[in-house]
Amino acid sequence: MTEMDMMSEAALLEIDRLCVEFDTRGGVVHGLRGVDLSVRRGETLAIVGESGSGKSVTAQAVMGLIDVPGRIASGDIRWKGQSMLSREGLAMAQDIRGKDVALIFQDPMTSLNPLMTIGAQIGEVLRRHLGLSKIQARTRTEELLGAVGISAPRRRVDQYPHELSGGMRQRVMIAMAIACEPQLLIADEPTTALDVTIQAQVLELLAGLQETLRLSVILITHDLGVVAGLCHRVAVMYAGKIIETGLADDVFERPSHPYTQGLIRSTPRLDDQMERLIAIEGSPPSLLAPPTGCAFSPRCPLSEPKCAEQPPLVAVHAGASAACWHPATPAWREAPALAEAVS
Amino acid sequence: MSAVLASAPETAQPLLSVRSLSVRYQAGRNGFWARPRMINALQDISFDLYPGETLGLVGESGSGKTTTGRAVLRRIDTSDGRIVFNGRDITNVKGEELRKLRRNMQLVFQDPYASLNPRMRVLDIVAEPLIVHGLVRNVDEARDQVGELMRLVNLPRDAHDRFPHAFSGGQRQRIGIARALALKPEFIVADEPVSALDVSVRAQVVNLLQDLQKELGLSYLFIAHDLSVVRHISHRVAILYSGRMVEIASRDSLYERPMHPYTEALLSAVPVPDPKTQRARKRIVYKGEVPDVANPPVGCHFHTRCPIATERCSLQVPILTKKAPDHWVACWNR
Ligand SMILES: Nc1ncnc2c1ncn2[C@@H]1O[C@H](COP(=O)(O)OP(=O)(O)OP(=O)(O)O)[C@@H](O)[C@H]1O
Ligand SMILES: Nc1ncnc2c1ncn2[C@@H]1O[C@H](COP(=O)(O)OP(=O)(O)OP(=O)(O)O)[C@@H](O)[C@H]1O
Ligand code: SF4
Ligand code: SF4
Ligand SMILES: [Mg+2]
Ligand SMILES: [Mg+2]
Repeated sequence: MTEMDMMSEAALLEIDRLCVEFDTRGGVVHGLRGVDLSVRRGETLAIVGESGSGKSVTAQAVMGLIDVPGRIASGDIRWKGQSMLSREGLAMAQDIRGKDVALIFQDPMTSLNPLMTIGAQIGEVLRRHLGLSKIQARTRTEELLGAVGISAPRRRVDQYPHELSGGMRQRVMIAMAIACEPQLLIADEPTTALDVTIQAQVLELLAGLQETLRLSVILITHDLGVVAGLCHRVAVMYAGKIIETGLADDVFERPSHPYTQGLIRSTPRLDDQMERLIAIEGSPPSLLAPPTGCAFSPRCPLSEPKCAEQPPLVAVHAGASAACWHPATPAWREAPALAEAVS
Repeated sequence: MSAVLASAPETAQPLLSVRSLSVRYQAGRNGFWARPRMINALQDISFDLYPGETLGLVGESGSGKTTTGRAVLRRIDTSDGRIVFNGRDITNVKGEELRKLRRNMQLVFQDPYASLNPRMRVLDIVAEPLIVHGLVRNVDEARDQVGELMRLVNLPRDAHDRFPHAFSGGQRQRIGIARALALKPEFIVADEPVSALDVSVRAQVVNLLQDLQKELGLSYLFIAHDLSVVRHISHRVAILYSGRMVEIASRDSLYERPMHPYTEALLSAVPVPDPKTQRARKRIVYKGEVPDVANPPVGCHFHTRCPIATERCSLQVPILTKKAPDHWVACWNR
């Protein structure tokens, strides 16, 4: 058995050359342009990338939430090896969504029903998916709220979402997502709307749950710091494609793709004093008419004529891949402070 | 209440001095006959800003950052305190005087999408303040000045005749900055100027703001909740919590020797984008939630979450006091 087979055997979720398109007034938006991704049991995978790179659309595709004017144009999504998009797979997919695979959104207010108490909302999930009775559901709801660190759960079950703070609402969302003991939790920017101190509490909670429940987690974020603290593996997206994947430690230590290198360098760090930030000039391309070659080419210091051709995502070193014709080549000048430290 | 001085180089004359500033908002009534509820959004804030310096203003959502910025620009009324700009008390200036004053102090907004009129060309947008203040008679007279502003913010000259939608987020923020610079202000309030931008674009705007400061000697009140960006750009930093200033200090003093328990928690909670460092860091995670500004606890607003709170903390408001050179803290137990 090759290494490749072993990896795919252990994969819980596999995304295979997934393309998603949206019809808009301006034309067809190519939201995902061939995304390959796999998540293994018990691992935390981060998806990072800038706004519009396709992070949320990837999550929505897994959850079956791509709706008109969007469509999955090609590619496949497999759960434990079985296609979720094929005719036979559809029923299975219906069954596991919300139960084995759960999604937490960025803004809890858009996904909580303002007219229902939080107890009623979590209870409904428990009764629908696990067939609990009303009384069982209430007891379990209180347990779940306790598990996500909400104080006085007995009182909270009867409160409405607007009576809770942002951090508490996000905890309620997490409680609802883990209610059916899912195997995979997808968290789409779960802490972006929260303040740093509250964000730290929620991330701590996620990390704890991941360990005790042996969850697989896909964490979508644009905060590289959050990734560093929590994730085993990272996938970096740019303009609807994964352009680099690897172990978190590796990707931070020796990023292969020029975009990843630039992203890490342009992020100011609390523990590091750079005189001047390294900026990536320009901005990402429009996905209405995406470039045929490397989408990063107009902003890349290493760009050359060959880059007009799309580079494939290939292995760079053990466990790490990048889609670039010059992977692992330093693309940006060292920041002054760093250069000094070296000499 | 005694005015507290939080000052840096004690020799220089501050450009902006704020003393015991308070702002109250009216927040809906509970019923028609009920008296309107008042929110004390800002309570007894004091600080100085020196020429050519950047003061970073940090705090959680609702802590009063935007309110501070708008109050010192005289865009909202203050309920108490004094604002001194260039040695002159501007707390109550009105009418024509206020209009003149505004030439000298400008605002850069968070959202580069919402803050530019989509139906105006870039030329019109940047020239507008010049026309409004009677420095030029029409857009054509403004062309050269606008061209110079475009050069300052690194926008292509041919951007003149295009509309905002034709620009990326980072470019729109540059247009907003060019507009703010049109009247040659000395002081700019930048209210979360990079929060809405993509990570890879933020550095462009941060670098631009720093270059402009060097070139034009600008002073910034830089509002943000990203402590890493604030550390990078600021000379001094002030921390707000629930409408009050809990700590203000020179940058390195604040980041390396934070004294207020809230600042400590805040700094320890900022994730560092490096897995090894991040795993080794000790995080202080406090239980509890940020208090509701409309209904804050008595005494120190942080006492409901503070690990070293004592009885006094729930009775008396701690006063901002000097604890080290250029380092002021409001805490009874530090
Ligand atoms: N319903 C829709 N209609 C049209 N285009 C869409 C729709 N949803 C997403 N897109 C487009 O698909 C692309 C990917 O969007 P997506 O929401 O996945 O980005 P993202 O990486 O999650 O960004 P962000 O960090 O801003 O959340 C974008 O170009 C977006 O404009
Ligand atoms: N016009 C207003 N009327 C009533 N209350 C207001 C008004 N503007 C702000 N507030 C309240 O005043 C407090 C401080 O708000 P402010 O906008 O200054 O906070 P901020 O620190 O800028 O927060 P953010 O990080 O979310 O921008 C908040 O509780 C807010 O709800
Ligand atoms: S393929 Fe070429 S343009 Fe694209 S990232 Fe690599 S070197 Fe740069
Ligand atoms: S005054 Fe008291 S409650 Fe407030 S920060 Fe200091 S010790 Fe904590
Ligand atoms: Mg998204
Ligand atoms: Mg604000």
